[in-house]
Amino acid sequence: MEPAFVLKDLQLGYGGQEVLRVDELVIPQGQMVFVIGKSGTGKSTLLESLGLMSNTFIRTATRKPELHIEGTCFDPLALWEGDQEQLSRIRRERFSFIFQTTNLMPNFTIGENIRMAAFSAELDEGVMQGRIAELLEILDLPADILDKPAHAISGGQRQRIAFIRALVKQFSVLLADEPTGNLDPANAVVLFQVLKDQLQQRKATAVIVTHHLELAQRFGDVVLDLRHVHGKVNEPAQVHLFGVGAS
Amino acid sequence: MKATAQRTDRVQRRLFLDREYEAIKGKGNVVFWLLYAIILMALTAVAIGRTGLDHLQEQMDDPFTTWVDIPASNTTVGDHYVSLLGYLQSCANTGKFNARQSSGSYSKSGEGWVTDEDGVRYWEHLRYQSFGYYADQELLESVLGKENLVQELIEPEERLQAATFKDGIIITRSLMDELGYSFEELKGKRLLLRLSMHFFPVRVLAVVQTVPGRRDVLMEHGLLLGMNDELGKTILYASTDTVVVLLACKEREEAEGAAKVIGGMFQVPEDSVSVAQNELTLSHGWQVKCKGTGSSSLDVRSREQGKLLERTELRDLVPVILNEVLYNVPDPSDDYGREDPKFDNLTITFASLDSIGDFQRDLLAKFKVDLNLDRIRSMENFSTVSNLSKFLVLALVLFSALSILVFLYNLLKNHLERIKMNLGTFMAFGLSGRFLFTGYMHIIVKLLFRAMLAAGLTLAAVQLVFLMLREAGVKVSELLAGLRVVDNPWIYLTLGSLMLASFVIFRWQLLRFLNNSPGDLIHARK
Repeated sequence: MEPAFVLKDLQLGYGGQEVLRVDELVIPQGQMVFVIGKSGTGKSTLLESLGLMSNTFIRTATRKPELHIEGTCFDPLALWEGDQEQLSRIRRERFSFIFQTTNLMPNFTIGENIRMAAFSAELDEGVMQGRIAELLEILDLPADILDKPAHAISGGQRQRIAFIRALVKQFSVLLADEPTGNLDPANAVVLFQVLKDQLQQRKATAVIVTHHLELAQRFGDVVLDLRHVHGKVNEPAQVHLFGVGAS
Repeated sequence: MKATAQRTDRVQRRLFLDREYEAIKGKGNVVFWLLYAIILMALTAVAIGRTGLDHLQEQMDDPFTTWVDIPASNTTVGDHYVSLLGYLQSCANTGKFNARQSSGSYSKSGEGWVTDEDGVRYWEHLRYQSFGYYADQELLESVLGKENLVQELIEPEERLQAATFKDGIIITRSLMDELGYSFEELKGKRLLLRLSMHFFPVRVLAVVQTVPGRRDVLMEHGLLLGMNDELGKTILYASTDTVVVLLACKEREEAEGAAKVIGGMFQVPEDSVSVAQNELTLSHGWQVKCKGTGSSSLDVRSREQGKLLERTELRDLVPVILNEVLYNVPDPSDDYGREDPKFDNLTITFASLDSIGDFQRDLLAKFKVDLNLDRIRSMENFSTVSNLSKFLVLALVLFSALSILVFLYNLLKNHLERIKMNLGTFMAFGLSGRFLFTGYMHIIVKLLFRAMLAAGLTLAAVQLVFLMLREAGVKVSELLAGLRVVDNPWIYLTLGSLMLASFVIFRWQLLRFLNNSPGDLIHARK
């Protein structure tokens, strides 16, 4: 089985300022991968790079960067300089996301927020409705919450809706940035358990950025620890642990 | 699979457009109504500005405004007549002082003559003005132009024929109102004009608001000179061998009695005299025709006319000899004004009045002819105000377009700024930049189009109300009554420019916004 991602020879950062250097990183298919590390080590940068959310790839004369997504090799710099529709298509067909700030559209109902994300992947209406109903039940949310506006529900409910929005959509890789950052540990455990079950059912991969080492150790198949080189915080971080089975 | 994709795309698109349109137009449609109010005010200002400009333009296009009369009597120009004529011609030929055309005219005073059931009515001091069919085509077009024409009483193709003006005249609306005839009556019969002791039944070709020189009647040089017997070309009506006398009587017996007297006067046999109801002119009455009288000059006919009026048995019937113009039509070889009879007025028209003051000063210096300064100043003012109005209307168009664009630009900017994290999230889920671009363009164009349509319809309704008020006889300000919306090209120009500018600006704005990656939007990176 092809890995979900293979990264080679990458320098990542913003505005030419390097944040993270990746000589080689393989993220296996069907695994729940947690990314941990101190603030500023590039966890979110790595996530944005994998999810093609921002052009974080830095061009250098000496490196020949490669980004393999589920067996397809891309030159990430060329990808960002090319047709933006192709980026949208890759995101639409392969990825799903959970963000710490749920970013629900304020003038849409909860149901419409979920639908807008799911529609992007051209999901059949019946399948979509079935999935929504199933997930609402699993996450103990009332069915009528779908008709409420986004601002009318609690923070915990919003976070669970963000999970549903991500899981209703068709995807093979889920990318999550502090998905339970606003929840208490007990609720976070429940959500991660649901997430793990859903990912196993779909044989999907997840790359999750978190500060909670305990959660990473409890649910992660792989844990990537990003550290600064020789402990110098002004130097770009590097991926320290890589490969299947690391913990 | 493809069908499902298209359907989901449509549903997604519909959902997104509906929700975002609702959000952008604001609670209670406040943004829509604000936009409507701005557009309505802008269009109103443009419509009123344009109406005012049109009004001024009409004044500018009016022959009186760009047409300068220079009295050419001996006391005014003395021996300079020929050189003044040449000077004006030279200005027109070279375009000096923006002069366009030079010409001249004859002015006479006469009477309109109508016999009806109440007897004979006539209008003294009707002022006749002449023009040259070939020399003054431009003037003729202005007089018969859309803005000045009240009713044309001939077929359109007749206007182009010189023969039409052989015995045809143009009268003002105020004269028609005084005469008390309808357009149909004027079209069917001839109007009797009197000059000295000569009477001419002439065709009314058109009724207009005004004619040059503020006269009552406009006619071709040949006709006016002919009526005054200055060409030697005008002879009796009907044929060279027949005299037709119009009698103001109701009964045939009266006409037959008078016919014997008239036949005796012209010394023709009794069987050469006939009596018939008058169908030719607008006057009621009877015609007496005497054949075999032989042709005579107008001067002779004038004396005969005098004798008829002196006959006591005819005096109450007011006998009038109807003269006819028999010369061949206005002739291009006619060179009026250069030789005697000289023009009563020399005229010059201007393409624009910007240099009219210079012309006035030059004329005074060269020929000691001082034009009426008030009139010149009013012409200059027309020119200044007209140019100013054009500038103001244009400025209004630009200002209104700018204010609407700034309003919409800020509206969209604030809206996108407020939800950029949410849009970034949708984009992360795969919503394309193209989807958002076409979606927001659609929303803005829809909002703008609806507000423009509502504002345009409101203004058109206002125009209709003013028209109805005017029709109902309610006194309405001329500016408001003349408000043009539906047929005002400036309104469409404003709306078109607004739509075009909106497209360009919002395209740029959206492309700039969507140039951000989903990550930049979610994390609010500049």
